[in-house]
Amino acid sequence: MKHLERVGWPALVAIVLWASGPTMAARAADEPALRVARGAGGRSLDPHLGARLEDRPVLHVLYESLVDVNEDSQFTPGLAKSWSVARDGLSVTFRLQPGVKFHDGTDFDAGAVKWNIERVMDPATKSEHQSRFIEVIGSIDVLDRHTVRINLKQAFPPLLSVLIDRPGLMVSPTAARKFGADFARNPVGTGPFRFVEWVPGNRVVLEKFAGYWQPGKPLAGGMTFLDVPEPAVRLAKLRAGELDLIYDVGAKDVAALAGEPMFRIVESRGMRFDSIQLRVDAPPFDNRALREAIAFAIDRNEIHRVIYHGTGQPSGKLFAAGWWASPDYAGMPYAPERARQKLIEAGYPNGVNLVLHVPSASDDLRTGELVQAQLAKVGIRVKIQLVDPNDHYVKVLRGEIPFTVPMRWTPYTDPHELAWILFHSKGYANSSKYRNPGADKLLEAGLSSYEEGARRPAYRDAERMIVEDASYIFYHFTPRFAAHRSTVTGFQWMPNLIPRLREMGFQPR
Amino acid sequence: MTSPSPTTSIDRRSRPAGDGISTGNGAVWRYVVRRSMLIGVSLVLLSVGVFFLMRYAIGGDPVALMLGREASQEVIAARRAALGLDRPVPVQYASWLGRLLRGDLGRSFEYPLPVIELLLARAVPTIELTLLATAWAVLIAVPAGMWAALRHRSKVDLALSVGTVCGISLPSFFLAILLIAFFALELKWFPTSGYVAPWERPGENLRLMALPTVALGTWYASSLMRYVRSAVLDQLRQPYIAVARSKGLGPMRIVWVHIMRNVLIPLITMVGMNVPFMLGGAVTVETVFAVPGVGRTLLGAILARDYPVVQGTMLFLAMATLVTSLLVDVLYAAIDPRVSYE
Repeated sequence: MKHLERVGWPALVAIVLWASGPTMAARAADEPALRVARGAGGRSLDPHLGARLEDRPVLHVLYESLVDVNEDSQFTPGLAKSWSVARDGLSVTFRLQPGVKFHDGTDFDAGAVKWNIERVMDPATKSEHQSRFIEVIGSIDVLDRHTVRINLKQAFPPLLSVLIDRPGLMVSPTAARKFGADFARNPVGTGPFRFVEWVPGNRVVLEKFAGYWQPGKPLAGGMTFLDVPEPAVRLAKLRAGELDLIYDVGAKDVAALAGEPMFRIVESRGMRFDSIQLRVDAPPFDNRALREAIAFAIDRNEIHRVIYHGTGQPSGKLFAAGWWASPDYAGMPYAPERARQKLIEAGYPNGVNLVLHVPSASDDLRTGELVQAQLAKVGIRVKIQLVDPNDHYVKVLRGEIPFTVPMRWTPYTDPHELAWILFHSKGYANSSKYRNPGADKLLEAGLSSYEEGARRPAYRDAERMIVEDASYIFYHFTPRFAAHRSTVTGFQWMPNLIPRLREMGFQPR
Repeated sequence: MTSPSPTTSIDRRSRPAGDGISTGNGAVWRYVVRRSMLIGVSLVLLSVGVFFLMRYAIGGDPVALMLGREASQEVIAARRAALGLDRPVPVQYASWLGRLLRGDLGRSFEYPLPVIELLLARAVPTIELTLLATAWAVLIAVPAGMWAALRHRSKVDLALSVGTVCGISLPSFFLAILLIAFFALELKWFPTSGYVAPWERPGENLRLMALPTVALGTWYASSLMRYVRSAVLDQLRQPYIAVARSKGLGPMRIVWVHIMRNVLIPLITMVGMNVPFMLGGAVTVETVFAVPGVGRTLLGAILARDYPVVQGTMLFLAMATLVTSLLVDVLYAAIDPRVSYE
C-alpha cells in the first residue's frame, strides 16, 4: 500500500497536468487531416473480402480501379488511360497509366491487374464478389507491361460498372501475399491516401500518399474516419466542431442544418428505390389482380411527406426518372378506386386479411403503419409482424417472408445489374420469385449492344413489364445526404450513392 | 489507529459468523482453489449453453449476414463449409473447446481479427469505464447518503431523496444525450464522444471518459446512496453509538470511524455484485459515446451471429463476474474479523 502511494501520486498529478494541456496531437502535414464520422459497421479494408457499406468510402480513397465514374454516370479514365471494346464485343482492352506505384512501392502494371481479377475469381479467395466476375469474364491477357485485355464469355456492356465497385479495386499483390488473412487490416492500394492504423470499432487513420501518381493531389493532409454508431451523436460532433464531414444525415436533420451558414448539405443525384415486395409464386400473391390492388392503393405523396419529410421523389417506377434507361415512363399511379375494382376482380369483394412483415427499426415501422392505413382504406386489412432488421433480408431471400416493406436497393451505374439480379429468372437476388419469359428476353436484349441508345428500348419495355406485374411495388426514390463544414470542399456522391472523399480539401484561409 | 471492532453488536447485514478466528492464509488459499475449480465448471456449462442457444434459439444465418447481398448461394455454401458450420453442432462444440483449451478462441466471422485480439482491445475501455463509474458512484453516494442520514427528515434529506428517485428513473441513454447537449454542445467543456487509449493520450482519455462515466455511474450512485442512508440510520440506532457518545467521543469520530466501518463492509459486496449490471448499462452508454467497448461488441456480435466473438465475450464477462465475487469474498475475510473460510 505504502509503495503504491509512492508511485501513484506523482503519476496522478502528471495525468491531471496532461489533461489541462493541449488535446489535439496535430500531424506534421502541410494541410490538416479531414475528420469524418461513419457508423459502426466497418469490418474489413480488403475490397475483395468482407468489406461493408461503411468501409466503402474508405476503400475508395485507399484503392483505385481501372476506370472512374463521374456524378453523371459517365466513365472517365482511372488507372487505365483509355480502353476499347473489341468489334465482336467479346473483349475489352485497357491501356494503363505508366509510373503508378502501390503504397508499398510495388509497381502497378498489367501483371497486377491480371493478378487482382484472378484473385477475386479464385474460389480459394472466397470473395463474395466471385460470381460477379466468373459469370462474365473468361480470361485476362497481359499484352505488354501497360496493356491488359479482359476476355468475356459473352458481350457484357456493364463490365465497367462492375469494375468501379469493390471487385475492381486494385490491391498490391505483394502486400496481399505477404499479409494473407491479415491483409484486411493492412491495406495497400494505389490511392491518394495510405493506411496508418485501424482500431476496430473506433477509428481508421490514413495519411497523404506522397508518391501518388496524379500531381498536386490529394489536397487534404490525411483522413480520419471515426466510428460513431448513433446518428444524433454524429450530428452533435459536427456541430461541436469535432468533425468536418458526416454522410448519413437523416431527412429530419437536413432541414435543421440547411439554415446554418456554418454547414453545407450535399444531396446525392443518384437515388435508391424503396418498395413493397411480394412473393409471387404462391398464394395469395400469385393473384395478379390482388397485387395490382395493393399497388394502386399506395398514396406515394403521403409517404413522401410523412416518412421522408419531403426529400427525394415519390414514384412508382424501378429506374430513377431521367435516367437514360427509361426517361419518360411515369410508373404506377395512386388510384384508390381502381384498387377497390381490382380487389373485387381478385375475388375479394368483402376485403382481405394479410400479414405484412416489417423490420423493427423505427422509421421502417412508421412506413409499415402508413402502408397499413392506406391499404385499410380500400378494404385490405393488414396485420403487422415485426422482424429483426438484421435477419430481414436473409429471410426475404429465402422466401420466408411473402409480403414486406421496405425493400430498398441502391442503383448500380448500369441499369442491367439491379434489373437482372432482382427480376431475371436466373437472378441470384430474385426474392419475389418473379418469372416472366418476356422480361427475361428483354433483359437479355439489353446486353446485345454497347450503345446506350440501342439498349434503351429493351430496358424501357422491361421496366414497364416489371412495374405492372407488381412483384415489387415501388413507392419512393430516396437520395442520401451529407453535411460538411463550409470550410471544406470537394465532396461528391458516386452514382451508386457511395461518398467520394478523394477530392476533398480545405478552403484557402 | 486502532479501534475495537464492534463484535458486541450484531450486524444483520453481514454474513453468518464463522468461529470468529481467522486461521491464517492456508485456509483462505484452500478456499480460493476450491472456488476456482467451481468457476472452471461454471464456465464450461455456460459455454455449452451459449453455444447451443446461439445456434438453436436465436437462429439466423451468420454466413448470409456476413457476405451481404452480393453473394451467390454457391459462395455462401463454400464459406459455410470453410468455417465448419455445416458439421453437427456437438462436433463444432468439441472442436471449439479443444482449441479453447490450447488457448485459441478462434477468429471473428466479421472482423479480420482473432477473437482474443478483439476482446483484449475492447476490454480496456469497458474496464476503465466500469471502474470510473463505480468510483464516481461511491464518491457521490457515500457522503450524500451519510449527510441525508445525519440530517434525517430535513430539507436536505428530502432534496437528496428526490434527487435519487430522478437518478434511478432516468434511463442512462437519455441522460447520455442530455449530457452531450449540455456539457459538450452548450458549455463545450468536454468532447461529445469518442475514445483514445489512456496510454496514447492520458489527458484526452480522461476528458473523453468524463461524460460516459457520469452517464453510467449516476443510476448506480442513486441506488447506492439510498442504501448508505438506510444503513447509517440503522447504525445510529445501535447501542454502541450511545456507549461511544457516553465515552465522550466526538460526533465526527463516531461517524467516520465506527459507523463507516460497519457500513463499508456490506458496501463492498454491493459494489462487487454490481459489476455485471454495470456491464449491461455499458452497452447503451458505449453506443451513445462511441466507446469501442465489450458491451457494444457483444451486442453487435449477437446481431451479426458472430459466434466466435459471442462465445469469447460471454466467457470473458462470466469470468469477470465470478472472479470479482471471489475477490469480494476474500476481501471480506480480510476486513471482517467474524468471517473466516474453514
